[in-house]
Amino acid sequence: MKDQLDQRIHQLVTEVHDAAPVPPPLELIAPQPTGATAGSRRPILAAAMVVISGVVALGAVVVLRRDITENPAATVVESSVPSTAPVATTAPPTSAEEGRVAFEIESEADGVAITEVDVDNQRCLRIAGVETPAAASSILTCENDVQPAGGPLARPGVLAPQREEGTGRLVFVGLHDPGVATILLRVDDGTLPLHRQVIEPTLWAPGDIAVALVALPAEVSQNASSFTTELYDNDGTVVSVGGGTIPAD
Amino acid sequence: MTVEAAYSKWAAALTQYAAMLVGPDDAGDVVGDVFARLLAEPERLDGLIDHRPYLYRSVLNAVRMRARSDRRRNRREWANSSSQHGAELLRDPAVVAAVRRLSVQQRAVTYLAYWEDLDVSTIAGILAVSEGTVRRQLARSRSKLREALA
Repeated sequence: MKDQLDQRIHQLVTEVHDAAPVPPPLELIAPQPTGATAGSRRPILAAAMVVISGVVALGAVVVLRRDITENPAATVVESSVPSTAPVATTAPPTSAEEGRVAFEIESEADGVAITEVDVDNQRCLRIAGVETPAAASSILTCENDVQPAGGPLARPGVLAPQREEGTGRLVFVGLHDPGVATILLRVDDGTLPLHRQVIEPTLWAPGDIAVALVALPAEVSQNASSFTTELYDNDGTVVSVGGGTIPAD
Repeated sequence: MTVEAAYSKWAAALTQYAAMLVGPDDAGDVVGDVFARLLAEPERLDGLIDHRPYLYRSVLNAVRMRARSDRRRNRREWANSSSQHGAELLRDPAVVAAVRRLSVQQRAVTYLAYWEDLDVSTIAGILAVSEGTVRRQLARSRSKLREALA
């Protein structure tokens, strides 16, 4: 009897063991750079989104400190590009249109990996695994004055997906604010859930706003027609529910 | 051993261990938390002869810290695992139900005993508890699982 129970427990443990995900590359979980102490944090002024261009690593997390000013200057401070093929950022517009300030990051080489960007001389962004193709490509947009309780980005928390050119993948951008602990993302084909993923950036400090990029594989995106999101607070209470349709190819 | 080397060697095993403690969805985040802290303070690995006890204990501590702040959410994740993503990850709803009946420490000792095949003394060393505690938790775990899997 004892042996039979041991066998069942071993099967149970094996099943849980086999369901464990494969760890991501270490670079994706590296702590975000800290340019300020907790005492310097100010009330929320900014949210952020990343416009996808090129190859984005699955589950890449971008953290944006909340004290982004209205007209930040951006500089790429770390990338894989050799010095002979410089990376440059355009100056942000002097007047932000509806609070949006866009940066264009240009390079003269293919496959440039932008790993760190300064905004206002503070290393507040780390973009892991983002590669831009040669020539101009807009990969970073900062949006100011988006309050957590309103605004186009703050809720429902996950933006409508973009199709990643050349890969067929769907890329979702999930926005966290201090009131939201978890986003549950479901992608459906109209009848069955094709994919379910918990978006839970864990590397940001209290009060920061984090953006999680979720890239779904092509085989999921081919059949996906809609997505739904549920936002939970720390107590597990649903804060809001959202979603939308996914246009066909 | 550097943090990079430790991650390369132990991340997969620790993620599988964490899956037993918090479920597959959160396992990567837990291990990520542990290594994010190590990257910030790599000196924590200095002088360690055997890294496994330290890392396994760190995962358990990270799980406990998360459990304090979002106990309810963890329950929801396990609950969802039986009907949503769990259909892919954990095919047997009985497995999910059975694991949910165990405390975090009971999940840890069960995993280390049944998957890692460690003896009571080694498990006690990894978890920094007495051998008596390990035996008690294993017995309670077996008792709960006997009922759950009956």
